[in-house]
Amino acid sequence: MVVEELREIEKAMGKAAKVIGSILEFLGREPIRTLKWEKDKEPKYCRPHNINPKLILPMPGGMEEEVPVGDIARDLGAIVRFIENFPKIYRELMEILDLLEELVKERKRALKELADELAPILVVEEL
Amino acid sequence: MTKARIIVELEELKKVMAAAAKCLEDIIEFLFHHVPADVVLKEARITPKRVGFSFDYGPVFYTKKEKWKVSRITYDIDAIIGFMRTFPDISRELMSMLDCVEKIVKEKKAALKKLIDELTPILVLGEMAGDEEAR
Repeated sequence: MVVEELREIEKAMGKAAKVIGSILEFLGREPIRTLKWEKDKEPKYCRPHNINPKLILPMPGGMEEEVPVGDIARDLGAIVRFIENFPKIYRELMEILDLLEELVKERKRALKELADELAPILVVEEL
Repeated sequence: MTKARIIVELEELKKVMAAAAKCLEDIIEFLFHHVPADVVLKEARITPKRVGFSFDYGPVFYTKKEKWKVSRITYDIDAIIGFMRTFPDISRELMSMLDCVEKIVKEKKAALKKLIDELTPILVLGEMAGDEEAR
């Protein structure tokens, strides 16, 4: 029974690692830096990196540990600390994604405005 | 049109072009320096050379046949003419890339929301175990 339950947890954690790893890989290159520049915000729980994204999981006694995302699919200690910290990790990632979405929308608006402003000149050029 | 009028019109054009250069530089820098451009290009199935952006770190270029520095459209008449001819393509390409980033971000958010729903039972159990330990 316990073994079955552990198998279920292992499956759920494998999926969690995949989702979070994919988000961190996507955000990993530069958006974090953009967000830091634009909002002066440093990610606290996630350390995205192209090759090996990591989570910053608080340890007992006030210490912190960098845990590769893949570890939460197999390492029991990492799973326990991940579950304890998941709500915070979730909030942080969602906030970063929200901000990125907002930045994209701003750029799209600016491009549309530019196309509208240039439309008369483009028509003259075509004529 | 008198020469004086042409000068006034050119001044106006210069202002519009300066705004255009600023807007484009901001978008291209955002897309190529701050967002994983390779992911976006792959997802959007866009080849950067279709219109032609150069996204090496440093000045932002756009190009059709020749490499133009974007800021040149504020003062170089040939660059302005080249830009006018290419702008619809540039605009389309940039917009499809921005759409793609938006789509990817939405997908990631949806996956994260689904994950929290799936993990809720485990998270509740984790909290209960913590409470019992504290007792």
